[in-house]
Amino acid sequence: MKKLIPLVLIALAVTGCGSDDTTKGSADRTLTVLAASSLTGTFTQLAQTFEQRNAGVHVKLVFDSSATLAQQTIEHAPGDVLATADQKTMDDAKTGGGVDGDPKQFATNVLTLAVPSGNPAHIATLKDLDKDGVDYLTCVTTAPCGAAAQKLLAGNGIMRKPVSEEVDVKAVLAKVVAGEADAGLVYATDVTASQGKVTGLEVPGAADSPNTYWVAVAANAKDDALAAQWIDFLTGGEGKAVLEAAGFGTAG
Amino acid sequence: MGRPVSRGLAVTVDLPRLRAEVRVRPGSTVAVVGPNGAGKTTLVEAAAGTAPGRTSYDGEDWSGLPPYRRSVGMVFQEHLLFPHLDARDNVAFGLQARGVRRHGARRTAERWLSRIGLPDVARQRPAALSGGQAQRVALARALATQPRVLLLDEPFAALDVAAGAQLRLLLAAHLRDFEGVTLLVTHDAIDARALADEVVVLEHGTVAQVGTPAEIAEAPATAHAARLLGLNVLAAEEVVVPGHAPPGTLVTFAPSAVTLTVDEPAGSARNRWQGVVHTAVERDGIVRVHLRGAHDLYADVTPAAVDDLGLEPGRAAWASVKATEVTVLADGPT
Amino acid sequence: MVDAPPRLGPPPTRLVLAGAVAAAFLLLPLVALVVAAPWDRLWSIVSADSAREALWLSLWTSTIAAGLCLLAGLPLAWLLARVAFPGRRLVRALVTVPLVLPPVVAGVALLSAFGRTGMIGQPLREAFGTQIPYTTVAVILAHTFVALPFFVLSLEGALRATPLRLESAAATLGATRWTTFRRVTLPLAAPGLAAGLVLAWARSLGEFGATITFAGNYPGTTRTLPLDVYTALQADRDAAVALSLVLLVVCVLVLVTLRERWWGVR
Repeated sequence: MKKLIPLVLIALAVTGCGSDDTTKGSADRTLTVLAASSLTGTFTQLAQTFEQRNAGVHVKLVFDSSATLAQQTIEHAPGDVLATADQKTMDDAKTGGGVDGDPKQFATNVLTLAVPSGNPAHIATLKDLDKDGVDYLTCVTTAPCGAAAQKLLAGNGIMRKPVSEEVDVKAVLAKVVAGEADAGLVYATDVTASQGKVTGLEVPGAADSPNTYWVAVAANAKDDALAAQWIDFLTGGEGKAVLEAAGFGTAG
Repeated sequence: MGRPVSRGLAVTVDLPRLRAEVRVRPGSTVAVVGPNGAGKTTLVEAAAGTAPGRTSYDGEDWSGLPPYRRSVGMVFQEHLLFPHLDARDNVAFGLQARGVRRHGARRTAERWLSRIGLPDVARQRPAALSGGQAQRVALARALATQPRVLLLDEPFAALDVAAGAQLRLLLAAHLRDFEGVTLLVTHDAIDARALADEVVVLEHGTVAQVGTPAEIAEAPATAHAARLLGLNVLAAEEVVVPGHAPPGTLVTFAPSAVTLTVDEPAGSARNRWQGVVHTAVERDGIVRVHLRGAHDLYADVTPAAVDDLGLEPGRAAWASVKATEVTVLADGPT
Repeated sequence: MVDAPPRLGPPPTRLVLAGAVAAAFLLLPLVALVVAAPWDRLWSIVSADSAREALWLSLWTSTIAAGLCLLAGLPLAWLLARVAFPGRRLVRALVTVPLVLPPVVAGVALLSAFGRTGMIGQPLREAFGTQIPYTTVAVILAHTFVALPFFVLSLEGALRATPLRLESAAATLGATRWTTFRRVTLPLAAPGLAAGLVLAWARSLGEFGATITFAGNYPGTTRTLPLDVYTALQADRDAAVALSLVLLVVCVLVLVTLRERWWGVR
């Protein structure tokens, strides 16, 4: 059953089970990075490079929704670096005492309308979401991707509501990939990451108000130096290259 | 074996643990007696259709029919009244199951409750009834549908003396003019003697003996039958007993407790009856003498005594028994 | 109803202690929930339209799901308890599976069957243009799917506990199996039936994983109270706590009322 794999992805997205890499090596130093789930691909790649460059360092990645991770830093859950997919959640983390110092913006991402391969509902533009019988998804409005989607839909005069508000962008993507929806508002990077399983359609006005990605050292960090090193690496040339390849903007 | 075409009920069970055939003539009652585990209950369950077996009634083959399509009424050792229904609805249950409307069924049920002397318990649930009352209601429930076959599976076994006696009287009154057939499972001689026209002795999974209660009492084929049916059974009013026996109860005493004399006994025994020797059958060194008079009495005596007294059939003799040898029928079998 | 236990001396300390620990473990998080509740904002949170909508949706979908459990589960429980059909053990084992299945997996399974591209969902959509996901029907289906095993197993236990001998007695009185079921078996199993319904209802009320996976998450149609709690948790933790408290109070209230009504206070 080919259909099973996307469905399992839905399950993983919904439960927030990400790649919780708990490999215990002989590493002397461990860096725990809490990152928004839209960073899954890029951060996994960057972590490998970072480990190669810094012998004895092990990077542990935790992916979840930005809001959940921000809350976790406020509660002083284990973690050295927090990377969120919008400014608001980072501000919340800072206000709540979850991060130290000044957060840095390191990437931007724009919303795209993703349609499943084959585009069964024949969607050409965002306006088509207003057609009867088109089922589209967004993130829940409390999540950054949902808040942005709401703004864009209103800006483009779309009256019909989504059939469901998924808790994060991965859940939206998984349902579109599985053909359980005709379209979904996801990030440009998600379309890139889907490797052709969905097609991205440009959303008018999306580029004008991109989502911004922020990174900061967690207040509870065990290894501040290593955390700062990761942030430098991320915002340096190598980090930028990887982010851009994945569809992020880095010109902020 | 050809298909039995006869009047009344014929039940055949052919299982590894029980191979038996029992026939009941129309209007008669057959008691099935035997030790525990002899298969008595299996036999009536076969007749009811709840256990495997072949059954026919008046030539009509019931073998393939489920219980609810047989014209049977059954009374169980535990009354098995429906705990969530009151007495009236319990009695009305069978009628309603057979299509009588609730109102009519309840009226009929009330008449039955009056007939069994319990008109006041109509709205009471089984939990509020005494054991004897519950069993009488269970009898009324079984009879209310006017079944052609009445099946009684140890109906007295769980009752105390007085309640058992009351139910026995009720049953006897009903059976007098019942035109169907009755199959009564018991391991109590009293029931067999008081209610049955014929007795079937089941032992080791087969029929050991068939006969009238008197025939089996006179010449029991097995030790169990001898012990069971050899007892003398009289109404309590006719016998002096130790202590108190309520009217309507039965009392028993063993044949070995009976003394036979040719002249009227002068001793301390206050229970004495005159009669004529009907039979005298020897078995295992004991002669069982059947004395006929106002009551049928059995006495076990030695062959020597038979010779001394000249107890041959037709000879007049006195039977006597000490009050201390008389047992008021205890509840349940021993 | 319950007899006082015979006097056998005081209960052993180790059992008392272990039992107390278990009780405390169960109680503590609930107490913490009450303590953590934002009492000053509580009313404004729980009286918000979105919360009322979610609570109402939860209540009526759970009630319908319990009703569906009754309709579908009663015959199944009876068959399992009373009819020795071939494969009965297998069927019983299969009925138990959703009981131990993670609800999310149940949601994925439901999508595979009734989703837009599912085994039944796709032909249904092509033939009639109707679809189940993202509708309240999907919520009810998800609820029923996870609650039905609870209902069937608890009812089957109750049916097994009703004496077969009474059913024999009914049969000798001329009652068909249907009449016996209706007039004897069912009334006697009524307390078990009620317990099963409450269990199914409570399970439905708390259902989350299968619902969010299969039905989606949209206010008014599929966002039940547990989904509302989870959604709130993404943004406003206090609101999530307050809504959880509502769910807890509703459960406790209903269970207590039904318990007194159906079982009598013991």
